[in-house]
Amino acid sequence: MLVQRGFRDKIENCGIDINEFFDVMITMKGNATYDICCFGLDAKDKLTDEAYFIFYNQTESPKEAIKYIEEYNKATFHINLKMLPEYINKLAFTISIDGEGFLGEMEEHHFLLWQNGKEAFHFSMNGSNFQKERTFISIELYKKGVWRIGVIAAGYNWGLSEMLNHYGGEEETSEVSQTSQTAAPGFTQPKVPKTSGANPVVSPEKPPEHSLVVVENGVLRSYSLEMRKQWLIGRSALDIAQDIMLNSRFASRRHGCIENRDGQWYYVDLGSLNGTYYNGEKILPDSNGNVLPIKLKNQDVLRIDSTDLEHPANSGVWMMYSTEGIGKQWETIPLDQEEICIGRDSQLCDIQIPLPYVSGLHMRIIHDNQNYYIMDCNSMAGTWLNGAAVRGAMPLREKDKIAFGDCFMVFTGDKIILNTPVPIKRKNALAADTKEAEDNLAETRVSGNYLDGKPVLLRANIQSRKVPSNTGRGEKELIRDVRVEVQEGTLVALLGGAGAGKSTVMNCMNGMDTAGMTGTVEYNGVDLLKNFERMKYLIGSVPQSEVFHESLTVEQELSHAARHRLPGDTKKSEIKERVNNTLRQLGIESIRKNKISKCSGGERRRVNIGIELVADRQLLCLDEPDAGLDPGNKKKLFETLRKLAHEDGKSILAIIHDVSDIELFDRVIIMNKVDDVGRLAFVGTPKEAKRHFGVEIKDVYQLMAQNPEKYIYEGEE
Amino acid sequence: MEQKKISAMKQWQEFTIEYFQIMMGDKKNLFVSLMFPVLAAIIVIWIAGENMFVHYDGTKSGSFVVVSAAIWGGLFNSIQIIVKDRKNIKRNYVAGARLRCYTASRAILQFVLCVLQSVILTLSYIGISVIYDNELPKEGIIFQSPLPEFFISILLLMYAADMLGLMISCMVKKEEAANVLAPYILIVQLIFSGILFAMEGLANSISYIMVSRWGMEALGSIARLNDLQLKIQLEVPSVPHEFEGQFEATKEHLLQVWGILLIFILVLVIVGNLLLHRVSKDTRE
Repeated sequence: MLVQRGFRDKIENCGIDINEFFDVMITMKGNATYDICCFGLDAKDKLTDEAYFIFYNQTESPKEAIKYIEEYNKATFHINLKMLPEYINKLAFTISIDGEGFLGEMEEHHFLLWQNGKEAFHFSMNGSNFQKERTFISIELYKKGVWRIGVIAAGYNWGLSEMLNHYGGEEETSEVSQTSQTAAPGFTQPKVPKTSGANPVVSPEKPPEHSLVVVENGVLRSYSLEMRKQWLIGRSALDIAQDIMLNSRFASRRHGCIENRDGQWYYVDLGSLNGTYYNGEKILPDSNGNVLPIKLKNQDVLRIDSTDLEHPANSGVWMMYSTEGIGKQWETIPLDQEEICIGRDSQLCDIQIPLPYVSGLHMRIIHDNQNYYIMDCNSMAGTWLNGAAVRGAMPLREKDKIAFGDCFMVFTGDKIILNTPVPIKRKNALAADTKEAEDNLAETRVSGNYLDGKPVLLRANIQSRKVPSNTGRGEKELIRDVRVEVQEGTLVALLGGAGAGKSTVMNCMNGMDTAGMTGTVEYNGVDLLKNFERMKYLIGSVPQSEVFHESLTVEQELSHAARHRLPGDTKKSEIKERVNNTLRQLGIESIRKNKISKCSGGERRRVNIGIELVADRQLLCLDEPDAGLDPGNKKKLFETLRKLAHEDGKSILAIIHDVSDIELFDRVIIMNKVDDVGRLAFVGTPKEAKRHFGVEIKDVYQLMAQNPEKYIYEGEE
Repeated sequence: MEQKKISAMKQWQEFTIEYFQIMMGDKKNLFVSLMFPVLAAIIVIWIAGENMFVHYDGTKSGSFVVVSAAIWGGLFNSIQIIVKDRKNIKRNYVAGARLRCYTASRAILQFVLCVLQSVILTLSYIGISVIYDNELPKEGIIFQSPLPEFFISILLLMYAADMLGLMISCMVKKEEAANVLAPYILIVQLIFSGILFAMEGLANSISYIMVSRWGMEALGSIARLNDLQLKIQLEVPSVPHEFEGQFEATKEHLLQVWGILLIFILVLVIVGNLLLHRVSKDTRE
């Protein structure tokens, strides 16, 4: 089977039996020396276990699942996918130039799959798709339900060392160099990784990477910006070494640069001829003729194109700044059929996105003659094209942005570039594979390092919230200068005295009531308030009052809640499974058949939480979930919430009053009433709060009441 | 390019099943709802039945009692069902539920309840006939028997009152407000029905927007009020009985009245649904 760039399919469809050993054979022809490697990556596209970095100097993985046989200008990987551990989600085959030379000079590259003496798959290319790149990912074998193969053929300006760093590996020496030391003919010995062993080492979660995704001529490239402070962007030229090289005729040789200033990334147009568009608006100089740098936020789009963005040129460049990392999250899907169906149901859809708010058949992309159209299939969460809801069949134009929930796509040429979030539950699943990893995880909890590196899910910068005064004249300010964050998989308590603004803060942070608010709230870097209709399916709000039907049983109430919150085409079996999971997570399986009117206070609280939990919301906002419970039931409830956060990856923000069990919470946000306005008094862990105030948390209210102005916290940057 | 529609219908089905389970789970309320027309029928038969279909005044009074019972029953069927579920509605609405599916589900099941209640209330006519040996009109205006016409009229009237209650339930934010409003609405309906007082001028114009007026017109027509003697005529036959157009016993008139009641029902449901969309603006008390 001879394939082209962009090809994707199940490996089995290529004639390979994945239950048996097969061979990956990579051959190179050119004037350079090539390092051919295989990276065994986890679900986050990271080299969690360096034992699965297979190259010249490490030729076997544990259990010989991958064995590397080297010959001159040729590498063969003898692979059995079934012998790989569960956490290996992808095998990425890369080729890097060692020493002088560029991939543009490469004469031939062949990637073949062989089994039982027969060639089953063949991809070939030459250097015409590259210029000054030095590394490219040829092919990826990846798990998406079943093992699949994808032809990537994406080039990077890095060498092998940077590639290893990018995948999370570490070099033995601190020097980043591609100079060979002891080289076999045709190959260079790359740096040896720091560790190589059979057991995976689970590192703490890293913060999201700042990256730039570049789409040009239908090809996606992504750059992890962390690797340097400044990136020069421009059209390739012999005398200028751009970091991000473009081919577009609209790009100047020194078109712009992305630079890091005090931890923030900015884009600066360097006086280019055709200029740059920032989120659809052309960047113009100020009155003094200076072009000011633009501070970048997640999903900001930069475009280099013709003057008519309504009809963009194919050779235009589309770039997006992302704080959500790169790698696995971006996939290229060729639109090579008359109709491409996208949704949750693997039987109905060509592209399956297994997220709870995605409808079984969510949307369709239709190829009609020369044109492409997008159509929402009456999905629950809707589909959004360039920020507007899709109604009927809407034409797709070059670089159009498609979004639903926190899924994001770009249409370009004859393909879409798709970004789907990684379900947070999968991060912890890796830790269950070995006892060492479990101990590491337990150790981080005990030592309080659980929060280290946890990515921020919700970031609020609320300058003020004002509402009409009760007297009918003027406005009343409810809260002011509240800057807080909620990290993924954490349990956060929102504390404060009466009227301190706790509910106001919560309603602003979850987008439920933001009238009169100035400021921003970002969910995974996306402006929640501007995109609330799209993002609301990720957030569950559990009110203080119990809002369920007393005459229904617990199981009936949760089933109905699931049906209301999940897409209408969710199968009965899925609903049942979700209800069973929710009952188990909340520890109320034994009362499933009880009428709610007969349940105890603690049980009713759990049912109240279950109504949102059953829809698998990522963020849960709870308003006094413990109100009216006795101390024993309160503690049990908080323990349940902590388990939901730490084991199931939920992010939970809860307003509570009783701080007896505050140590069960990962962080506390303390509000204080100062001059009749709610102000932030503290944000941090319970231990940090105790150090900050010098008293137990239960005494903080009294302390603040004595001198409220003293306890105004500037908040987190 | 056909857009596939599945969600709205499914959502409506889901809300309907949910509400059915809620109704069946609250057996006490269900019992009260079904016992009310029984009690009302007993009162009609006991208090007003003796003279129904004997003379004009007795029949008119009896019909008025039936109208009152139908409006009362319909109004109280539904005046609480939305408002006491308001927080749940908001929660579901924010979660993506379509309010029209919610309102439609309640409307459909209320219709079923009204059908059962109307059957029971219609039995009062049979009770009058059996207990007092009073003769019902020999034939109906449209059908062969007047009983189906009584049933349809009571059903439309009761359901219109039910939808009026539903609309109020969508409008108010607290259950107490609904409870306070209910008797006022009933009083206004009864006063402007044209039975207790003669409606002239502006009062007559206002009576056009009262379901009680149209219910009374329907029942009065079917009962052939224009053909019955006045009570005084039983003693003084020379007293004239003026023909009243509102009780004209013709097919066209009856269908017109039924049509008007249907329009009331539709308008009340639609307005109620629109009012319910304000639930997204509900804030914490």
